[in-house]
Order: sequence, then structure tokens, then C-alpha cells
Amino acid sequence: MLNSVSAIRHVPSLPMTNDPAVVEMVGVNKWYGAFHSLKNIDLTIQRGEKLVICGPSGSGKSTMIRCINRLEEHQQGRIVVDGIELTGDLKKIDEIRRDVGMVFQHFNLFPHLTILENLTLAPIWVRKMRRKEAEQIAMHYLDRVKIPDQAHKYPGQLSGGQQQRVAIARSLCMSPKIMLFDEPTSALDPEMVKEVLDTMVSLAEEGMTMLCVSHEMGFARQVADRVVFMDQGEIVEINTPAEFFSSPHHERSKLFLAQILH
Amino acid sequence: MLSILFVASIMMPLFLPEALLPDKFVRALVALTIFAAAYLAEVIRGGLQAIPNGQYEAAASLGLPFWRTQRLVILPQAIRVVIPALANTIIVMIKNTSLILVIGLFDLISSGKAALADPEWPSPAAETFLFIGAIFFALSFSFARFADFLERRGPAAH
Repeated sequence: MLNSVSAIRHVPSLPMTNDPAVVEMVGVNKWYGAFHSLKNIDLTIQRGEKLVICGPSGSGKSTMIRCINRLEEHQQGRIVVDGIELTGDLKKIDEIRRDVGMVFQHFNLFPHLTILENLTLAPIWVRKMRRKEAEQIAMHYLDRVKIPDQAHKYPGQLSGGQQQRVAIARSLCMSPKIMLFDEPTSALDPEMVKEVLDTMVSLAEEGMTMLCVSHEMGFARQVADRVVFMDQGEIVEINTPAEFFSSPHHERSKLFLAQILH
Repeated sequence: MLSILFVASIMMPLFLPEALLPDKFVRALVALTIFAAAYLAEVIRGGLQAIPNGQYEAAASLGLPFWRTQRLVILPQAIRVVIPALANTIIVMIKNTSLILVIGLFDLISSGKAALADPEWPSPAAETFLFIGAIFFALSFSFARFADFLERRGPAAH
């Protein structure tokens, strides 16, 4: 069980050298019926690393990060998360999910619970924390995402940007080792994108390991250590953001960038 | 409904020895319960289907196991969605209790009729039936109001 002090204070990220990989995907394949949605994915993510995954729609980027916490099942290959291999073993899957936070495109907050209850649900029932303690941690994270005054409202009463920040805080309450973001800003009104990105940037600055499926190129430039470009279920290119945006190696990357940058 | 009641009252005595046979009232009660359960289950299933997949995914991504997810996330929302349908079903069931007449038990209406048949009974027929009507109305109406209250409680529908 966590004690509240370590949960509240963020431990700075360790240096990347000789630290074991926190996510390791080796030869991962996935099919939906006849459709081959992930083709031989090899990807290793170090602790504290920030990855931005981009690519055209249907390229398998969401599927790939959803495989990491087993919202999707892979059919071939190995995925090891924080030293635990993902197999059919439900215990291990729950163990991994406790330590891997996820933020969805459509927030997926629990509409029948208040913001505070949304945040304390998992710490109380999964981490077996006392309610008082869980609420303390929840308020701390609501403070971090700058909406402590909304704690007793329901998700339906908040704007999209606020809801997404609550969703980020909800994941953080479990003190995850990795955060997965599945297009966190693409369902938001344009004027709300920034507040969510700012929250993500500050999270990145604290050393959180992050995988973001995102088309926010400014965000990628600012925080990403590597950009992963996917197309048709394959990883086409992995590059530093500076190089990826100025001189991508692959034709398909060039084409994609030309299309999204107009 | 009727067929289940007939099975309970006429068929069961054919299969079971007298000693093992429960009271006629208990058999009717079990029959009504089975009938209501089937209807209610179908209503709840409708509610479960109304819950978007994202709710399951969000709960899973937080590490909540299956039954916890059902109890804390899915069912509270699903039941809320079907409160009107649940209220309907339950009110229909209240009125269905009259059907036990066909197997020779007394429901509210037949009790009234029995009372009227008694020469000692002082009040006129109209009064008796109006009073029975009032009882049914009070039961149904108060339950409808209760359902209304449940629906208004908690967060506004999203």
C-alpha cells in the first residue's frame, strides 16, 4: 500500500541510462478478423521517456497503446510492462492496469459520481486506501490540474477541457508509472486544447513516462523525446521531433506531414 | 403469466406427493416471482446495453476488477436509465396479482366480492368497489411518485 507522502510528492525521474525498459514490445501482431491491424511492432520505452505517436487514421496507433494495458489483446509477440508480461492471466493484467494510467479521447468520466468520487473510486477500491487519505490525494491532484473548486460537481456540469483535466487527475491518483494518452485533445473545442496540453506538459516536466497518440505537433516538439510515425499498422519511422518535422526519412512521413501541416 | 400459475396450481400436484407440496399460496407466490423476475431481468439488460463501452474501459484502465466495475460503475448508471421501465413493470405486477383468482385464491377484488356475498355485509356494492379501486390507485400512484423521486435524485441526466 502507498503512504500518502510518497503518493503526493513526485519522485524525479531516474537517469535513463542502464534503467530497464518500462515497456517492451517485441514482434507484436494483431488482427481484427482478416484485417491486420498491427504488424510486427517492436518498441522499447525507457523510464521517464515521452513518446508521441502519430499517423493517419486507421494506422493502428490507438490499438497499439491500448494493447499496453490490454484493452486490446495482441495475438502474437511479447509485451512486457514494468517487468510483467501481458498474458491471459487476469491477475497480472489488473496488476499492470493499476500502474498504467490512461486518458481517453472522450474522457470517460463516471457521470453518476462527483468529481471527487471519480478521483477516489479506484484508490479506495483498488488500492484499499482510507477515504480520508484518498480524498486528500484527490484534492492535491485537482489542485494540480487547477480545478479544486469543482470537486463536488458532476462531470456533466464541467466543460470538455475541465473534464479531460479531471480524467488526467483521476489517472494520477493511482500514482501510475506510465501514462497513456489516446488523442486527449481531439474531442475538445479549440479554445480548450491549450489548458489540457499545459497540464500534460507540466506532467512531462516532472518526469512521467508518457505515450501520447496526438496530432498536436507543437506539443510533440516541446516535450517528446521521440516521435513514432505509424501507417497501416506498421511503425514507419522513429525519430527525434526536431528531425522528424524538418527532414523525415520516409516518403510516407513526408506525405503525412505535408497533409497535416497544410 | 396464466400458464405459470396453472403449472403451479394444477400440474405440480400431479408430480409431487401431497407431503412435499407447498401451500397453494406459496406456489402462486413463487410463480409470480419467477414471472416478475424474467420481466425485470429483461428491463435491466436494456439498461446495461445503454452504458457506453468507454465506461468499462475507464474502469478497467484504473484496475477495477469485473464485479467491482459492475457494482460501482455500471449498475448504478444502468438502473438509473431504466427507472421508468422498472416502475412500469412493477405497477403491472401489482395489478397482475388479481390473476391469482384463476387458481382459486382470493385477490383484492375477489375478496371484495366475497364480502358482498355475505348477507351481514352492510355497505353497498359501489362503495366496496370504489374502495378497492382506491387501494389499487394508492399503490400504483405512490409507486409512480417514488420512481419519479428516484429519477430526480442524483446528477441530471447527461
